[in-house]
Amino acid sequence: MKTEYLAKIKKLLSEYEISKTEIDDIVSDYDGMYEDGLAKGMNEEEVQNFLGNPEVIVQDLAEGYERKERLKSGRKLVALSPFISIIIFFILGFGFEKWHPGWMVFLMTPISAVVVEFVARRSKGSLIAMTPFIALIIFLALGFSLGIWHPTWLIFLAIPIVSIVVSAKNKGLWETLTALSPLVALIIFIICGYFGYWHPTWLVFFIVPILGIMNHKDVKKRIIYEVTLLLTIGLYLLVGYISGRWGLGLVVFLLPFAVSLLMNDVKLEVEGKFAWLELSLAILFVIIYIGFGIWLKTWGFLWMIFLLIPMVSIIRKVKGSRKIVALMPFLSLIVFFSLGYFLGAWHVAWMAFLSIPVTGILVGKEKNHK
Amino acid sequence: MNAQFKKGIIEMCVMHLVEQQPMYGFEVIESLAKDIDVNENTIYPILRRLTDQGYFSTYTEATNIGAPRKYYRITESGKDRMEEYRKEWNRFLKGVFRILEGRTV
Repeated sequence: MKTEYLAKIKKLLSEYEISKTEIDDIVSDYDGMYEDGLAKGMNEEEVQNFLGNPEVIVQDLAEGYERKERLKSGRKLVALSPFISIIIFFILGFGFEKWHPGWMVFLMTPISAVVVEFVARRSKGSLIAMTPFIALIIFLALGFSLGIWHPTWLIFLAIPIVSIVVSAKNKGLWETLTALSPLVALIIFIICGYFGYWHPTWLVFFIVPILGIMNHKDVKKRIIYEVTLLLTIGLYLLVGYISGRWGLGLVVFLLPFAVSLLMNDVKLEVEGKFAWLELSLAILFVIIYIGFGIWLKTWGFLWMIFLLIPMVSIIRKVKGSRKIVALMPFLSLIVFFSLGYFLGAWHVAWMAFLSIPVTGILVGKEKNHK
Repeated sequence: MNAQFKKGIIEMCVMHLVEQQPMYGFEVIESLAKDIDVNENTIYPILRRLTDQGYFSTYTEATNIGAPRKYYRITESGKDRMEEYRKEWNRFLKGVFRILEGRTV
């Protein structure tokens, strides 16, 4: 009976995309637990009732894995896509002299691979998985037809935005808005910067703490902080526009810090051993960004240093090979923007984003084969 | 009770038990089933997930009943996670009690 029970678990697991090593490990664990049950004096039926129905067990264990047959048909399409792409490419090239942008049909291979791997997994992430391609198509279409690669690249920020909105179901309104705010602020900042208004548009990033504070339970604190932040921004603009001494105006930013110290909140918000590191980095980067911005007019690209804050967080929080997957969006954004901004190579720079799904698939596969 | 909510609580209980001392799978299921009405088949997937997430590590020990037995031991990051769970749980319970006692009006 034990053999049948274990064989059933094994058979059900093998219907999913789970590696053989993992299946063997699970079966061996159940073998051990089965023996433990028998050693406790249970009979086989009692042990099986205790350990549970194989179908339910496998359903739980296989969460996130796709059934093989569903993937098989998808993978056939992926395997065929390079050949289909070559045929279309030659038809477009020899037939219509459209080698460019005909080469883009080769994107079909990674696109179909990602769609099959992600969408077919029945996750609510199908829209999320499709967003990079929709963004890429819009980016390339506007780039090649109108030549406006920058700031059209901001369309790629739709990827995290869609992801946040889709997963907003489990979050409150203010929490979702707070999560969206850095991206929205970045979009506003780059668009205004494109027209030469880097400064004082950078103040738009204050939308992040302004919305963040709305998550605070204490209404009195919410009001105090909101008023303090708005007052700080107002005072800074007032000093800057009246006296023209923007550098001096920065002193007013000590006000929110003073208030948070008075309210004893800096201590409250900064929990954990390394949170201070992130807070210190954030303050340091703000000083560097504003200082260099006013001094050397580096508003246009130095904003990338802020990406280091979430990157440091990821490095210390995410374990194992998932670390590189989590870091890749930030790294590719840095590579992309640097190539575009410094070399004007927006039309090739977008390829940096391909590293995101490629890393995801490689790491995912590696994990499955463990 | 909402299944997801219950799963979260069971996960916290599993972490707490293993935090007290390293345990083998059957022992964890047995200890939990003694005190809570729980679907036994949900516990092993939790043990496995917590191990995958790096909150537990495993080692084997020889037994006199056959194959060596796999033990689960909490890791440092598991202890940190447990501490967070404990705080969240206490905060949540306090809120619930406040509501039930009518102190939030």
